[in-house]
This record gives sequence, C-alpha cells and structure tokens, in this order.
Amino acid sequence: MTQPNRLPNGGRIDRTKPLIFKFDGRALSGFQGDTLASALIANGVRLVGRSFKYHRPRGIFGSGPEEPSALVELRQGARREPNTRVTQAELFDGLVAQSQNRWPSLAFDVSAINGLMSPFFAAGFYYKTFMWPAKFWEKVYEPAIRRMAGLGRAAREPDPDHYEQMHAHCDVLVVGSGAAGLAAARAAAETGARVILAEQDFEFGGGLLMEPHLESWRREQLAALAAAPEVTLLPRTTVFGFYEHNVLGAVERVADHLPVPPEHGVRQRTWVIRAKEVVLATGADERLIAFPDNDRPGVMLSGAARTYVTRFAATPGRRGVLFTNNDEAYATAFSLVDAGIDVTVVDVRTDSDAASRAKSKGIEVLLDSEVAGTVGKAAVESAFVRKRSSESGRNIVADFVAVSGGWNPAVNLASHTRAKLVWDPAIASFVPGTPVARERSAGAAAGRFGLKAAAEHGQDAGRAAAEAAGFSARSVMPLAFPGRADEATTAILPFWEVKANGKGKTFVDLQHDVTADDIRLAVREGYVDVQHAKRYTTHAMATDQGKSGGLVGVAILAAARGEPIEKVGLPTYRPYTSPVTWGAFAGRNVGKHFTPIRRTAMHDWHVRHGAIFQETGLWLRPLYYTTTGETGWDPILREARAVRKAVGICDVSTLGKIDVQGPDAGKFLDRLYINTFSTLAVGKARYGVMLREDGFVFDDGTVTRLGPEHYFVTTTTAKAAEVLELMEFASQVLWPDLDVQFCTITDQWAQMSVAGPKARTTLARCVSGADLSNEALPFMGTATGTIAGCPVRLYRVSFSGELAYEVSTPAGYGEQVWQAIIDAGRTDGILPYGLEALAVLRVEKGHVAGPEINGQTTARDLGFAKMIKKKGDFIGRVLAERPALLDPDRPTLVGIRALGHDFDKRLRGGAHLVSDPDGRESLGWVTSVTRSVELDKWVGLAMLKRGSDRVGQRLFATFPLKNEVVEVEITSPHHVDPENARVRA
Amino acid sequence: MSVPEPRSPLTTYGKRGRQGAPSDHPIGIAEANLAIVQVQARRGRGAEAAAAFQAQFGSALPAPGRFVHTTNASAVCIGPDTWLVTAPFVSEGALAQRLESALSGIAAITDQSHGKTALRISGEKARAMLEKGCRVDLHLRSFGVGNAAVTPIDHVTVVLAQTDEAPTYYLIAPSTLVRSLLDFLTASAGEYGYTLG
Repeated sequence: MTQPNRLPNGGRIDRTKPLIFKFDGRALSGFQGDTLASALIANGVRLVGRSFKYHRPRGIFGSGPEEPSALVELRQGARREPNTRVTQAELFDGLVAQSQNRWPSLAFDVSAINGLMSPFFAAGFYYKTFMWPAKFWEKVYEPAIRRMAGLGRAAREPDPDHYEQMHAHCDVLVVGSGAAGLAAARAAAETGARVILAEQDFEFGGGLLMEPHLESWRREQLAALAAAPEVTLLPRTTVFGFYEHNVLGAVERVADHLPVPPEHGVRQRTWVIRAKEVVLATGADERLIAFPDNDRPGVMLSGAARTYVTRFAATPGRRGVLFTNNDEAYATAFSLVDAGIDVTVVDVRTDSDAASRAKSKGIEVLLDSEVAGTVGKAAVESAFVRKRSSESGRNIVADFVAVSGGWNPAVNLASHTRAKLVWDPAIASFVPGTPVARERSAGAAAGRFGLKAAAEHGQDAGRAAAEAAGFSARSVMPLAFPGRADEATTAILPFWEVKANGKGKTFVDLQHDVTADDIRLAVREGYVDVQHAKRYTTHAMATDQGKSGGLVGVAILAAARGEPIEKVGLPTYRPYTSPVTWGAFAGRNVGKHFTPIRRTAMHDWHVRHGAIFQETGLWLRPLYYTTTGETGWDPILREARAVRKAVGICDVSTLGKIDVQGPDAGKFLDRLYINTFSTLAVGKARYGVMLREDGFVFDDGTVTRLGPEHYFVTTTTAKAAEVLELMEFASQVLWPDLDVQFCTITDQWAQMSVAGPKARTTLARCVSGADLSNEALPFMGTATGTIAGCPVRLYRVSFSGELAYEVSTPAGYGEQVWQAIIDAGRTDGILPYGLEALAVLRVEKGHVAGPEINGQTTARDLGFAKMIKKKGDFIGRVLAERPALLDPDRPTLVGIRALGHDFDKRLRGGAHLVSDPDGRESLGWVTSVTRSVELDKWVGLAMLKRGSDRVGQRLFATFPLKNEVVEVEITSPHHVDPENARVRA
Repeated sequence: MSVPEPRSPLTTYGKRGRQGAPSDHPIGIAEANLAIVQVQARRGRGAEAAAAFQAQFGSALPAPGRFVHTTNASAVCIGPDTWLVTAPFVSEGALAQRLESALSGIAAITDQSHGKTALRISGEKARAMLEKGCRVDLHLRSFGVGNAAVTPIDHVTVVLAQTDEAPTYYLIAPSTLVRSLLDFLTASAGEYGYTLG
C-alpha cells in the first residue's frame, strides 16, 4: 500500500517495519515509529472526526497531548477505548480505529445541521433553552441532550486487561525529556541522586527528535542515564498531577502500543511518586490564532506540521501557508522547504530577523498580513490572506495552514502546587512564579526558548535540585551541548484573533466548539471573571485543558473587558493535565478485589457446606446454609428451630475481641462501661454496655475476667475497630496515668456459639478436661479444656436465649474444633446456623443489636437503667443525664406481636406504631422483626413512647409505603423465656 | 491426645510452585511457620522490658522502625514500647510462656501466633513487587537489613521487616486478611515470575 504523503527519506520511522492498520474500516499502512496521527497524515487522511457541538468536520490539529479534534475509538470489543488522541496512539500492526460523533458516516453527518443552528447553540444555551417547562427536563430535554452529547462509546464488556499502581521515591523527579529535561536528569544523576525521568512520548528527546544534528548528544545523555544505577527512565509516562508534600501522580502506558498486553503484564500502571525535588521540563504548548474557520481539516499548529515532516517524514500537504506572529515558527517553514514543500509565510509583524532569513532562502513572506479565513469543503483548499489594514485580499491555494500564535510554557504542574503564574511580556505568556513546593521549572516550561538555552537552564536546574536534595554537585560534568548558539530573534507580537465579522467561526477551543464570539457573549451577559467566563462557555474545560486555545480565550476576554491579560489571569490549573483511564486508578482493586476479604478460620467449611455468604464490612459471614435448594424463610427457620429444639452451632469469630491487661485494667474498663468490671470474679463473664461521650449507647458485649489483671473483651462485629480506637484514645489522651495494655485478638481466636437445649449433651461428648455441669460451669461462668486435642475456652453466655456456650480456640484449630462439635452433636440433631437464624433468635429473645443501638437510643431507652452504676464516672455519664434524655416520654424498648398466625400479614422494620389504623400520630417505630419459630407468628422489637406503660395494649404497625397496617400487641421485649430459665438450665 | 497441627489460612490456598512469567530469578513467596507474640511493656517500663528480654534472649528489644534477630528469636518494634517477638513454631503457647517468665510483671504478653500469618518474600525483584502496594521507601538508602515498618500493603496493614540483602522481607499480616494479601502479592509478582512455596 502506498502512503501518498510519506516523504521518500528522513524521519525516525523504521521503513523496514511496515504496519497495517484500519481506520473506519479502510486498510492503511504505516511504519514502526509512527503514531496513528502521523500514519493517517502519511496516508493523506484529512477528515478524522466531527466536532463536539456543531459536528463540524475536523482533522489533525496537533501532534501530542494538546490535540483537540482528532479523537477516535481505538481497538474493538472489550478493549474499545473512546476519545483517544490519534497523536498519542502509537501505531501497531493490526490497530483498528473508528471515527466518532458522526452518523451515518464521517463524510456525511446528519447532526452537522447543528452548525446551521449555531445561533441557538451559543454559550449558555443549555441554561437558557431548557429551563421551561420544568417537567420537560427529565422526560424530554435530558434524554435528548444525552443522546446528542458525548463523543466515543466506552466498551460494554469488562476490561480484560490488568492495571496496577507503583509507589516510587526519588531525590529528583524530572518531568519531560527535551533538551532541558535530559540535561537536568543527567546533572542530577551525576551527583548520585536517585532520579526518575518521566517522558510522555515513547521516545525520549522532546524537541530534539526533530534535530538530526543533536541526535548524538541525545543518545549520549540517554546512554549515560540508562547506565546510571539510580536512574529510572519512564517512557510513555504522563505526569498528570502535582499534589501536596511533593507527591506526583503519573500514568505509564505500559502496553498501549501492543495489540494485547503480554501475559502477566499490565496495560497501564499508575505511579505515585514521592520526590524530594522536582524539575518541571515540560516544554511549551503552541497556541492557535483565532481566525475564521480556523478549525477546518488541514489547519494545524505549526509545530505539529514540523513534527510530522521532520520526525515522521509525513507531510500535511503539498502546499502550505504558515500564519505566525513570532520567529520560532519559521523553523516550520524551513523544515517544510527542506522537505520540498512550498510554503507562504503570513506574518502579522512588519519585519523580523527570521523573515529576512526566510526570504534569503527564497521563501515567500507576506509581512503585516493575516489569514482571514479558509476555503474548502471537508478540508482546506485555500487560505484567504490580506494586509492587516485591509478588508480585501486573495485566496492562496494551499492544502494546509500551519498556525502559530506563540508558545505557552506548560505551567500546569507548577500551577497545581499553587505557585503563582507571572506574565512575561517577552513571550506574551505566563511563566511559573516563585515556587511554593520543592520544584523548579526549566527550559521552555520556564519561558527559556531555544534548545541550547533550554539545555543550559536544565542542567542548572538538575544540579540545583540535587543539591537541594542533599547531594554534592561537584562531580557534574560540563554540558558539552553541540548545538549552534540560538539565533537572534525578533520579538513576538501578541496577536490573538482575526475577527470573523459574520463570516465563519473563529474558534478559541476546538474540542468544546467555543468561539471568540462566545467569550464576548459571556462578558455581555455578566460573566466577566475568568472563572465565570470559563464555566459559562466551557472554554478550556475539555480534556485538552485548553492547551492551544486557553490563553487566546483569556486574551479575548481581557480585550472585551478592556484590561490587560495579566489582570485577567488564567484560571487555576488542576489535575489532570491529560485524561487518565479509570482502569489505571482502580489498579488491581476491581471486582472481588475492590476491598480485601476477611475470612474466619471456618470459612472453607462454610463454603463446603452450602453457606450463602453476607458481606458485613470486610467479613464474609454465613447467612444460612442450604444444599437442597430450599429458599426464602425455609433454611432460616429450620436452623432457628434446631437451636430452640435441639442444638445449633454458629460461627461468631467476627465479634471484636480485645485482650486487656495491666494493674489498672479493671479501673480502665469501669470508666469505659456503664457497669463495673473491677469487682468481677476471676473466671466470670459479664454483659457490658458502653456509651458515647454524648450519652447515647455506643456498643455492647461481654467482658470476662481471665486473671486479676487480665480481661477478655468482646465487641459487636461492626464496632470492633471503633471500640479499639476509643480504648487507644482513652489510654493515650484521657487517662495516660492508667497502667493498662490492650490489643486486638479478633484474628487469634476462632469462636463459635453452641446453643440449644442439647448444647451441654453435645459438648459433653467432645470436651475433655472441663466439668460442664451447671454447678461447675454456671451461666456466665468460664472453663478451659480441649476438643479433639485442641485447647478451648468455654464461655457460658447466650445471645439466643437458650442454654449456650461460646467455644473459642486459637484460629489454627478452628475448623478442627468446629468439625468435632458437629460430629459430637450429630445424634442430637445439631445444625450450623447463620446470621439470619441468629437474628430470628435474638429478636425472639429481645436482645438489642444494630437496629436498636442506632446512635439515637440511651441505656435507659433500651432497658439497661439498672445496669448503670451508682458511683464512679464513665464515658457518657454526664451527657446521659441531660433532661431530654431523661424525659419519661422517650420511646423505650418493647416487644410487638402480630395478633394472628397469618404470615402474609407481615411486620416490617421501620413501620410506625399508631393507635388506630388511620392514625397519623406516631407513638414509636418498629426496629427489628422476624417470623418467630417459638410463637409461630410475626414478632418484633420497637421503640415506643412510654413503652412499659403500654404493655398489653393493642396498637397498629403502619407502613404507608406498602399500604400495610397490622394490628399488634405490645409485650415485653422478651418473646421467649422472659424468666431467663433456659440460659441457666 | 496431643495437640494437632494448627492450620494456617494459607494451608489450602494459592497455587503452589513456579508461576508467572519466565525468569531466571523468580521471587520466592512462602509462609513462615512462626510463633508470634505481642509484648507491651507496662506503662513507662519499656527500657526494663528491653533489658529483661536481653537477659533471656541475648539482644535488647529494638527501637522503633527496627528489627533484631537473636539466636532463638526475632523482635520487631511495632509501636511505643510494643513489639512482636517471633520464633519458629514449636508447640502451642511455648514462646508466649518463655516471654511470660522472662517479662512477668514488666509487660503484657499476648499470643498472636494464630491471629497473624508470616510470609517470607525473597529475590531481586521482591522490592519492585512490594512497591506496587507499599508506600514506604524500600530503597537500601532508606530501608535495609534491620529496618521494619508497620504499613499497609495494598489494603492490608502488615509488619514489614527486611532480614537480608537478597533482599528478603518478612510480612506479618492479620490471618483473616492474609489470603487477600497473597492474591495481591502473586498478581504483582506475575511479571517477574515467582515460586509459591
């Protein structure tokens, strides 16, 4: 396949490695070393996309991350990636790209009619048009806008590739590898500092890649850096943000240049770089000039045109016009002429050094002139050129227009640090002011243009950065930069716009279709501040971040306000300098790796026995077990019945467990709980309740005294970490005088509750070394022994209301002990039970849990008034005595029962209690409900005003969301065994 | 009946043997069967605890950020006057008992042998692998043999110590989370090649 616009010689492409790729279904060829952009240009493809709002035809405008127009869908299927800049996509064999934002085809796009409607699509269009009628917004406007908006389509399938993060530390991070960056990295490396050099391109060198005479210097620097042991070279890496404490974020496109990442490899890697010092050698972004129809395919930045010709040997056309206000852009004219391409220079200035040099080479230069329009259908066919003072002019036949309005130092990263930007009239742009973070800008990023000047500035910056990081710069070698001294230049003439005067559109932002007129409209409508004008017009808010047109829009805003640009200022830059895919941020934390999974010691047993798991925090807990396919309440009630009638076993390892030791351990716990533990006998357990400082209940659990100075504390699963935090705070800040030591032992102990009338029978078959009789091991007693040879501790506590033991064993024995108890209980009908049955049992018994301890209830509300100690302070005591918390009208805990046995008339948590079926006055609310296996009806717990006075009354539980009203009887919270006889049996 | 072998969460987890990309120097990842005991000095008695430990184990308890290895135990500082002491697992509770008798009344002793699981990671790419989830600077200039840190790796907080220049690192992780940690480590090691022991 021929590439009509490929030059016969030159460039950095490897002509021995041809690559075949497809654009919009058409097979094309390029070479290794091409970007998709350079390959498209080499093939003469000029129309590449349609613009965002007006669907205007667009071509390739830039050559790097500044590209506003040439965005495509790259790859197919699950790997399809929308809005990819063709200028940054490295060509590979088999690459498939599709244009986007067009229908039915790129050449004929129905929505281009938006262009004719453009008077209606001016800035603020959405705000003005879609206001009334309000009800139209959701049903009509938003769906229509959503259909029209957006560019490419994201893949529907899960991303098959992997991404990861890397945390790096260095003494000197150098961002950018042009002359300044290479010199900075080399100098820093020579001091022995740890250096990271990040370059967004796949080749290091920046502007050096267009200078064959500097190639040997570039190679020498790179070879030295590659050989330095403490230097990390990161090609294809964009530094996207500069954050507090010299932390920078970068994304490395590890395998984007390959059809598929290699096995075990990642597609992209996010770098979190902690750098002692940073050198920002990010170069400069060329700015556009706003002139009528400056978006037509074939119009491109002059530096981009030069890049394509010199680096890629691909010519944007056969005859060009260069529109400039500065001398630097003449390099493009010289490169074009060297490549045999005719060019006419249109310079707004009356004279310049570079113009003289051009003329001496026989290049046509039109001074004091401007390009006032382009002509063509889908691409430029000629440029309308005239004297600046004149209305009339002539059309110059040209198939491309290279434009340069000057260069803006790439100050984004410096601006992220909140360094002020300072106006530099010499370059008509902003440069970074005094650094705030430990960074410095070098070369073009600091406004030092010219390769030699940049290299010198870079070396100074690299040396200074290394010294600031604590290294001696005495060993830094002289620069030995072979380049010519940078030639004398004439100053830039600030020049922003050739007004359209009704003919065509002058774009300041090609990606968001914002024109100079839009900016002026914003000013007329009162959005004069740069921040307001930006948001009103969406200028510079696209993913190109206004790299080429941002300052142009600001200049037009300044002119409309009649003020100098430096007074208007730039909007603050914020991350990200370039778009970053979600995958790169998610890294490995996708799917089931989103958070770590916490598994108990018996997890594998649960899996093997049909457990359906519930995520509770990070934990996976069995909800119920089913192997027969039974559904709904069936497995839950079956498990709960086993506990009420025989025996069940439940994994309660997730309860928080804290080991508390020390001479003041008892005193410490006394101050944390509403009740007293310093008086607890060794070997006994006691239920305890903790308050928050504001007097509401915080958590509950049991405390067991294992020795005179040794306690074992349990917390709820949900509050385990918070209770430990509270202990740390209390010990370190509130009572540093107390000699107490504590640590979490949640993971050390596997814990299981063995509950039911036959619990003792079952355990007696498997426990050795412990007397389980009621006399030796009474309710709230503890014992030690072994099960299957494994050490166990037995706590006779009960959550279910049945005779119950919590058995704990070091986690490594958990499954063995669990299995031994199951084996021992088989003849008793033992069943494992999960969270659902646990909830059935605790609601029946009237034990409070999360729905009751919800941060709004006090100890008195929940029936714990008698537990509150009379003497001694504890956390929450004072504020629990506030009058409102002592109000006898406060809702208190009661039980509720449906009257009939009809399970279809269900109770619901959240229902309100009212005195008649249509009642509007809520007397309280239902907190927890369950089908009771004991009473064979719906029962629940509720918070009810003057609850204890109402026991025996009938009320209605109303749930208006579902139009349900159920008559209930108010009871004690204890639906089962209110005398507590079973737990003591 | 004698006490049976305890089972670690990794006993039946993870694909063993040589995995990942081909490499002459695969990273070694293996569980270390250690007894692990937490030692917290009584209020204000850290120096006394360190001295008592030295009398019994031959080396003082280390300073913050440090790790020591003696002939029969290792110790790493994990907080103010707080250490983890490890030794090869011999029998249930043995190390805790030795520490109880050495530090009785001076420190709280809590056996964590089951609550924590130790991993030994070794090989020239071990550092690069860890850097994918570890925010601590592991470069030899700032973290070498004898250094230790308590830090999250990916989302799991571990005790990390470097024990030789291979380099070899020990990670001591909560047992209930160690499978997730292993998932992260093996995924991160894939490109360098690794052997799961």
